[in-house]
Amino acid sequence: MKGNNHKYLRCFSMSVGQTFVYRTDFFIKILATFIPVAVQLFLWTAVYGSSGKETIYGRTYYEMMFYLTISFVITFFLTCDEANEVSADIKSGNLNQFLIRPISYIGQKISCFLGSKVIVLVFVGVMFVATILLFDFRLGYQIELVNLLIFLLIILLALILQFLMYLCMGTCAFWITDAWGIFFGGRYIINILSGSLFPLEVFGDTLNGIFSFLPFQYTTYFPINVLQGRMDGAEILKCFAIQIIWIILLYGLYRLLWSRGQKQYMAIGG
Amino acid sequence: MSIIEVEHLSKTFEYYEKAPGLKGAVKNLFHRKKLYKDAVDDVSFRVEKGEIVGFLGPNGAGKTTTLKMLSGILYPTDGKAVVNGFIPWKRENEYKKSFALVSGQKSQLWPDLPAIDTFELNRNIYELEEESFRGFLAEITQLLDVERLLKVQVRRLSLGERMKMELIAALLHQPSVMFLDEPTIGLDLTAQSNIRSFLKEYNRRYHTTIIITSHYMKDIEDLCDRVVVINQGKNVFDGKLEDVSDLFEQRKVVKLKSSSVLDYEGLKTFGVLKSSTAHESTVLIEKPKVNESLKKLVEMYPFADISVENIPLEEGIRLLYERK
Repeated sequence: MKGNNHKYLRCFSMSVGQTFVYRTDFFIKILATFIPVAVQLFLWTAVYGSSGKETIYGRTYYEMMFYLTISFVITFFLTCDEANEVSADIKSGNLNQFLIRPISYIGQKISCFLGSKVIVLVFVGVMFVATILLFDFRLGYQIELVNLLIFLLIILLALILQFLMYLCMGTCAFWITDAWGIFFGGRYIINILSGSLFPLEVFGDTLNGIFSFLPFQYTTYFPINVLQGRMDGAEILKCFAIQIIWIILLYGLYRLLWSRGQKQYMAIGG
Repeated sequence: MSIIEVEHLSKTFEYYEKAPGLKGAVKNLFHRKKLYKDAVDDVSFRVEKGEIVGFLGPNGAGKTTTLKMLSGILYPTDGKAVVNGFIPWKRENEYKKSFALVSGQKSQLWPDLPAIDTFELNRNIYELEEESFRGFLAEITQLLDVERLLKVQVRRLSLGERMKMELIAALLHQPSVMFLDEPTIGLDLTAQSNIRSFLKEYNRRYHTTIIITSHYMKDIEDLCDRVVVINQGKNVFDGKLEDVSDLFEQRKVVKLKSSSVLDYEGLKTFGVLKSSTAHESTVLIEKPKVNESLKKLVEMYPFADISVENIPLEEGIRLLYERK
């Protein structure tokens, strides 16, 4: 089915083209993602300075700085506006355009999402390499090549996982006319529980144990820990399995929400 | 068999009553009263291949809801519809490739990119042959006179230009059935007339079956031989356009122009005098009496001009809308 795949490739390349249209927006987004990280950098510097301890939550000062910087790069890479887009499509009736054409909605959405990441990837790649070079000798150990390769694999899965979480959130618009509050809260929960603001050790072992069954930390916390060599092979395998399971579960959830929502859909307007 | 067959189609929407004020909003959290609205109620009609049918009705009559069911966007509550041999709400890809829905208030074009990008996307979506796609695109862009606008960001096009691009995007897969939902809404007179003549020419060349809704009577008069009128979700008329006014008016409009001064009292004996100046008069005359009256009138006055017209269409349609 070459012709069939072709349409999603076209969506992908159109979406790449679209990222070139608004360049200022692109740089403002970088800044907006960086500001909370900068706050964290200063905060943790102060914490380390005043505590006088070598390590906090099992991390040295430079390990913590490395964590926060890499998490900024990942967070920027994973930024996902799909919940708003999906709910806007549903609310405005724009969804009709997808329903009447021989193309799958999720197929088009994910092609566009991945396409919008191409230019981001160039920026993120440069930042990533710079961060590693900057911290490499300060960490006191080398980042292992095998960990780096595993990291690259699971970060791709993280992108899919992130997309599915926001996609499911967006489909709420079938039932709730104004889901803005849900998205706002949802984004907060995802940001905190993914470990993108600070490492999850902060929550303590009990809570963190519970969180490990949720999908959130497999987008950010897990990949960084792999990169930093904090996990052994068995642990990585277990987390990897949970990540895959969540991708499957969320896809199933999306299918369920989608088919239920269809029955509910009013096709408002025009 | 007709290309479009709609039988007893119905759609009922469920919704909740919203009580007013803060107190009502709190009350709504715990108990909401369910209400029902019959948006489309037992609508039936048929359309033959190549026909252009005007689908009329006041705002909220259920036109758009019907078109959405025929496009497979909405599931009906009851009734049947077969378009091109397909049941629309089964949403088969083969069906999707055989029809198009164009709405004056919705856009399928990517606003940030030039229209040609969306056209190329549609070429992939509908799996069109490269060569015939190019040929067809050249033909309709020329017909609509938009060749020079293909590479302009859609956001920068005027409403009329954008609408033309919407039509092209919808026609690229050469659908045999088209649903046009107010395609001329908000356009200026020239743009409206351009769209109309395009649709007419396109229908002549490709025999595409078209159902069009519009609140501009000129669109309907120019394009459609037949109209289906619905009101409050129900069929109220299905037939030739010129028959609409017959429903209500058994009279004709006779306009008289004379070089001598007209005698009102004399004219009143023929029918109802609608307007009158010294040399011009409009009289409503019962249809069977028209011929006879004209003969008499000609004998009485030296007329410069006489015309016999139907009651204006808009008037007929308006009366139809108001009839419950």
